[in-house]
Amino acid sequence: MYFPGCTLKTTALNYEESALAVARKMGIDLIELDRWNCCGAVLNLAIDSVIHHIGAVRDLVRAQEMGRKLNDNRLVTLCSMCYNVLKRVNELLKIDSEKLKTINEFMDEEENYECGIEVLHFIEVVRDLIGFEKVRELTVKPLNGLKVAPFYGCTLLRPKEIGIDNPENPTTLENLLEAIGAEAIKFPHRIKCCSAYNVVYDKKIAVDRALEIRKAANRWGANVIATTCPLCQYNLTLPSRRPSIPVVYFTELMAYAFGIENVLNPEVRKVISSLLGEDVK
Amino acid sequence: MSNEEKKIKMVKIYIMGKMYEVPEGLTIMKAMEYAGYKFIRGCGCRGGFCGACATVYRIGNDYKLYTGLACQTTVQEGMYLVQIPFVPAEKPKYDIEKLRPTASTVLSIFPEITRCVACNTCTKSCPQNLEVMDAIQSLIRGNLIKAAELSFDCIACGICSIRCPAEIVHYQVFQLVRRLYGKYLSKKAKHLEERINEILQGKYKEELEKLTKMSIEELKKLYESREIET
Repeated sequence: MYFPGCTLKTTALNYEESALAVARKMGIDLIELDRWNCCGAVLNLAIDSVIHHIGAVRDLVRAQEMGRKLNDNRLVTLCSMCYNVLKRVNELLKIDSEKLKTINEFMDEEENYECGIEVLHFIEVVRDLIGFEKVRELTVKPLNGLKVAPFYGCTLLRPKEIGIDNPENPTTLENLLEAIGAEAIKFPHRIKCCSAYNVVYDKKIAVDRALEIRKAANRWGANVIATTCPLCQYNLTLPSRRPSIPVVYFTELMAYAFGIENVLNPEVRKVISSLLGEDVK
Repeated sequence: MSNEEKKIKMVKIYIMGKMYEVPEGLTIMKAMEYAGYKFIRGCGCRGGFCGACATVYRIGNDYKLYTGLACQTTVQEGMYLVQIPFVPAEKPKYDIEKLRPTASTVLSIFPEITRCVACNTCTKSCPQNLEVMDAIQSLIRGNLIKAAELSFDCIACGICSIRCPAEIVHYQVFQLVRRLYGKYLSKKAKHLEERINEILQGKYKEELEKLTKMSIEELKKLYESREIET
């Protein structure tokens, strides 16, 4: 099952299109939930503020309903923020039966949530279910010579209880990039915060942070940044001073390497082609 | 009191805290009129379409807060009723000619939409049984058409808006959504445009003038002998 999240339907359409195509190529069918709502976007740290967890639980209930029909309990996200919120709420309810009871009683128009859903980020699916060996096999156009700075941001890695990898020294994106023939640049800013929702309060914070990250990627010799999150993508591409370095989703690079670059947004396709020194048709 | 009247079963209802006995089977609106109330506001079409007679009630010891239209809901034993003839809501001014038909247009006019936490209280309160929360959520994810479809049967009674903890004014939002959809996105009815052109060109002018000059008797005769599709 697949939970898109709001940004995948608005600012990150090319993330969704490339990911769905890459998944199909790997033999995985991501089936979008019949009904879903905003996950809440940011986990409310006041864990007793139950109302702010309702959105995420309702999505988990939708997955529970659909999962019964499909005989599958895995819910895959593409957005790192959605992953973070859904997973943390899910884990919270697993250990806090009192809170679960309150929420189930409040949502008396829905069936009870039974905590049986497993929340996954798509990159975990690629790593654990498919494996990088298979990714290497499917690569028909290795991205030779492409120096990619993988950018994890925060929500995929932290807090460590729900992180998909070592929060200080992750390797998942690096290994994936190498499997598709690119060179992964291990730059120190890869686990920094993109400034997240600070962009709403004060754009300058986001612009400065984006500049810092782009400068670092540039300094370490990268010619493109790969991200897993629509919000990181948004912040890192905020218009500001140079260096301008393209920021793409890791699934867009995968699509290119798999030879299904026709699913890419023409602009993104042009960027990757020109970085690889290929002629743009 | 005649024997026939005695047979009618009476139910006890409470109108703004005062108990009344009213005949079973009446709508809330008729029951209130039976009890002596006279509606000068909060009453419109009496057919479930205008949305003027929003009502909130509880029944006996049931914890649920129910909602309904007074002209459509029949009285039940132990109903505690209150009428909501008007729901205060911000009504922003906009020029429909200058707006782009996108969900972000709606979000910029009603930014409080993004405060939705998917509690679903709006959906639970809707007397039209609309998926109100899903319609609001459609806007957050940029889908104006879906929001227009889901809110198509909204009669703007405003009950959702007084229940919403995020203080969203759904019915004003949906009106804008449907205006944008109707003006810019929905398929145009070609036959309607043709007919409007005919009217503007005066095709029916002569016949209309003939009608206005007719006497009441002649009009009645014409009306009674009209063709009716069955």
